[in-house]
Amino acid sequence: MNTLVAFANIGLWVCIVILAIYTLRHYFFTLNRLFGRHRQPFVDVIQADWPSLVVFVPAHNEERVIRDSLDALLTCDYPEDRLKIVPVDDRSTDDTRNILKEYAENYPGRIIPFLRDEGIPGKAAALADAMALHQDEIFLVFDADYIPGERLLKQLVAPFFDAEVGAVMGRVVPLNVGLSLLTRLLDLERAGGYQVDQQARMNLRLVPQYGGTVGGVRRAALEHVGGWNVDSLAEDTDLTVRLVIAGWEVVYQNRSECYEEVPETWESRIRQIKRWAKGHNQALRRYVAALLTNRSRLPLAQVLDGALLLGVFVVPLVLAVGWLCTIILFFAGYPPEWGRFTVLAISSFNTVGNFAAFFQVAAASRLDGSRERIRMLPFLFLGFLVSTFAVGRASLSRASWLRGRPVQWQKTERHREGRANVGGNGGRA
Amino acid sequence: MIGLEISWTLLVDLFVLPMMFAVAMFALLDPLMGAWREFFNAIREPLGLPGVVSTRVFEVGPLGVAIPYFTAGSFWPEPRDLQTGWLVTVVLFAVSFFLKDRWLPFGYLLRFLSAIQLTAQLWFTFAAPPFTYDLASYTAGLLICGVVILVLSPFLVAFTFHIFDFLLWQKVAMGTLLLAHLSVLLPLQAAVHTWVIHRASLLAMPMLFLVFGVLLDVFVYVALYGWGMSWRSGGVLDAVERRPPTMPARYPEGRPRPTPTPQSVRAITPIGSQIIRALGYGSMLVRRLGLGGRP
Repeated sequence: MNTLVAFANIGLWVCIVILAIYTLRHYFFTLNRLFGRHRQPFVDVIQADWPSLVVFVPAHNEERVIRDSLDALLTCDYPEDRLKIVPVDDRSTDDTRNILKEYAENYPGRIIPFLRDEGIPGKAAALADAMALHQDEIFLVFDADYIPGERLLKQLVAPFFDAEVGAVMGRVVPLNVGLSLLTRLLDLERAGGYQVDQQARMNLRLVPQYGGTVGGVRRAALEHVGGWNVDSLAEDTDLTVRLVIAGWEVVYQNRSECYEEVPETWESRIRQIKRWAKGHNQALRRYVAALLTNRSRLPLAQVLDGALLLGVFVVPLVLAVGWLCTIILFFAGYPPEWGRFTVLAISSFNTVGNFAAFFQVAAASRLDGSRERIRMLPFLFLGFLVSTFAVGRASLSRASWLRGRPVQWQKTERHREGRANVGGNGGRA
Repeated sequence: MIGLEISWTLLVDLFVLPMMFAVAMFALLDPLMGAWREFFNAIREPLGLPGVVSTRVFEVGPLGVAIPYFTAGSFWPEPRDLQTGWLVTVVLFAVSFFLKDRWLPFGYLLRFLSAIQLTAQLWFTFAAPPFTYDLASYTAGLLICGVVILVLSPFLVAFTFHIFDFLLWQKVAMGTLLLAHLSVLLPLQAAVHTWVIHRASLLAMPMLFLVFGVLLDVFVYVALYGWGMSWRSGGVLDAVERRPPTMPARYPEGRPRPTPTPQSVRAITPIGSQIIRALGYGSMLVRRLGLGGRP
């Protein structure tokens, strides 16, 4: 019994230290975002010798949303003669492929679909195959449900004028916010993750994450780090870390907003976060040692931030272990002091996913000028609870840690009104 | 990009204001404890709690605070209590699987609660009396923890709320609201815990301690904080009004759809549009150079 108590006590201390580090990190980021000097390289450049650009839109059964995305891309103000839009269809079984053929016919030379029926399934593999056919300078990647603004392409390409920049990430803003408790909570979480967390890491020259959905990569940088890892479950995190280790800079553009459709059902959200957790943990296993041993080339702060970024999806497990140790100590007659228990309680109000703490979420919403929705803050606890269960299950699965697991398309369910059966030009004027 | 500036007034709000609150709270602890004692005395009999309302001195350096608490005891769960507990645990767990779709998070909450209660069930099924804690010391400990939270919470408010551009009265109001709320909540919380554990045996203590103790206090703070952060400050952060879209997901209204490439161009080749554009540039160049001639 004494041994168990000793282990529980030490375990709780370790958990508290880890949780405190993450909480303080988020607090530091919040202060930086509120009071710091902001870095937004070249975001206002509108006249330039723009490089040749390919926008890839990976798609797998996206008939409900792909039209809106392509229409929005076609009306962007990037020079037409330097822009190619390449929807990458990987084994869709719905009407996606017909829609792409229709667009290719309507916009020849501008939309060049890449239709894929064989090879390793999954986003990374599909992108690797599609990109191999293009020799342009910059590759941007948008998810099929994303609707970019007119200036977005230029904003995302502009940072590449700095030759050290390997990847760029824009801000994701949910489009379907007011539909349910879940969408409202996800809006809060996204705000905290991007408006504060990503921007602070950008300001501090740490490791902003290339998220793989509203962003892009320099072809030379991609080739330098060996291209896409086709067996990666989270190709964005995987690429971010490899770029950082290789010395490339990853840039986050907070003003480059792109609208996405967040999951509208809890089941869909659970699948999404499990996928993220598996991918993140896979990247943690693959790169944390390389990152930590690369001290000679990278600043210490960047190394530490990279390691903490990789460990984000282990934190829910740490929190669960902390609660377990607390229960053991309670029954054994050694209840943790109020200080440790309070840290544990406060940590329970940190959301998983972008892992923004409650004050970080509030700061982000305030910066966004959306005050009323901050009143939803206590309900983040419910989102956290679901995420913890989901991340816990994902983190304990073999796919999180083992090498070479076959990957497949695991996509988020779309809920947008279907327009797949509308003929011609989608019934639009 | 919008942000705030560090100023002397901010530093005062950040360090001096919470210190004043903490000192004021510390000075008010005696009358507050007196009020708690009166409250406990008033509800002890209606709640059917035996014993008396006693005090325990909590020492902070040379100073001491006399914290009131109930001396009522509880008992080791009897077989009937355990059976009821098992039934409740199983029902909670089973019901959680019927809560789906938008009720799913509440299903997970029930599973979490049933897991906590399961630990208590197992402990009291296999362990032998006496339990490590008696009800009186548990209640006293809960209130001592509450008093510490009361004194230190102004600093939590300062570091999470005062950093924003709220007006001074709003910052004072937030701190006052939190302290007033906790001053009422903590004795009520202690009274409910005592009553439940006294009536339902020690079997209820783990759940109350782990879920409805400090965690509940933090929840209250987060809720109040969320409300306070939604106040209009009139400062820099109110200047922006980026209202994220709240309509159901669809292509943004008012944004033009692209115009398809004309059929005549499509009919030439996939690169027809580029050829047409090159011809257009060429004819423009010819006109500029004055080589086109006039009809």
